[in-house]
Amino acid sequence: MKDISEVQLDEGFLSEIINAITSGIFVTDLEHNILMINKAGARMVGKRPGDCFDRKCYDIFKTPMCRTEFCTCDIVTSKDRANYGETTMQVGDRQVPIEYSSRPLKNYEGKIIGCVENFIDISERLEKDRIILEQKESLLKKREEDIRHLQDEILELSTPVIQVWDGILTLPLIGTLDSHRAHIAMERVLESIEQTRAAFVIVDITGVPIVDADVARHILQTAAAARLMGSETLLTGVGPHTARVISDSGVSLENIILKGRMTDALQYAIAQLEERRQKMKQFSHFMGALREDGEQQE
Amino acid sequence: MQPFSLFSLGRVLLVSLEEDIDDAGIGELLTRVSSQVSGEAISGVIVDLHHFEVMDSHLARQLQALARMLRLLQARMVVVGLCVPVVMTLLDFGISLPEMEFALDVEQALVRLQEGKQAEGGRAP
Repeated sequence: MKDISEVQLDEGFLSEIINAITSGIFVTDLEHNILMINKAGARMVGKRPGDCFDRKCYDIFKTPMCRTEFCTCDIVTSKDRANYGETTMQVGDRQVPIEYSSRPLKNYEGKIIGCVENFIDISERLEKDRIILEQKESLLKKREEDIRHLQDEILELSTPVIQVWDGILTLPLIGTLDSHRAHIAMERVLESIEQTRAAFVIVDITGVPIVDADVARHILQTAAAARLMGSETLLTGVGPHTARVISDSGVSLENIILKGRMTDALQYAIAQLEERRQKMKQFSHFMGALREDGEQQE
Repeated sequence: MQPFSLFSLGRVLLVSLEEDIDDAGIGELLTRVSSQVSGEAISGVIVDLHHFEVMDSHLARQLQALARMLRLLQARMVVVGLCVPVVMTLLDFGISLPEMEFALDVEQALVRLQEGKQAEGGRAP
């Protein structure tokens, strides 16, 4: 078996190697004439190597950089350094994206006599990148949608209005209360009052971590709304810190009955309801009597 | 047709307003209610607004005027039948109607007036 070192490195064999390389390689002189191009390079522009010799490189490759100050041949030959980049070349009526790297070509005396350029077709890579990006974007979009959905869900879940007794609604607030949530909570309380004819609404703020003047104002507004509907609002779960904040903020809680715990509020409301029921009984007796009177008068 | 109706329930007067009541109607309402309240020693007036789907600040002011007048005649005013959109509008305008009371329905309003009367009676010397 022959060792690679035993092979004669003559010109023919070198050109064989160069033609076997799958990326495009070409050499130009200082006047942009193509001195040499390998098979892969010529194939990429839709030509045979023989068609490209002694032609100007800008006529063959037709990139947007050709014949401008960004011409990679001019850059490497004038500055004596390597240059890399990406561009597109015009092949027929098609734009082919390529990645290129150029180096200055020097003779034995070290004088720059031209430029060697190596380029590869990156359309497949770009296509892959595009697909990956698309997938990423769709994934991101889906995730955003999920998050939005969850937020809505949380909003739904976090403002439950529960009827715990005939005529008593509770609104246990959990989490931060911004104006949007407060508005939703208020609307739901009002709707529930309209549906259930509840005389009492117990707002519990044990689960609200930060209570500031705004939150206090929101709760107060809910109480004002409940009052206009004809219900009374009780507030429970006011901790020492919350009490301090509310008193400092100067928000008056005049329309609200304050109770320490939910139990106290419930007991109070149930007692009140019972009292009213008794009154109502007496009152219907009275109304009945009134009606009888009226009938007798007629 | 009259834009309001009055029902006398003993010492309580029930007033039901129609949505299309205008200034002239309000004026007539104030006259009729005031004469009836002072003439028949009425202690409470229930104003039923369940016909109203919308309310403007002008009507809110008229209601305030009615409440103030009733206070001068020593009668209480309880409003019933405000629907959710009306309540939201009033809040958005910052109208809190402090001079009147509110109840869920006429029944509750009657109970409320009863409650108050006893409490007042208890306080009286």
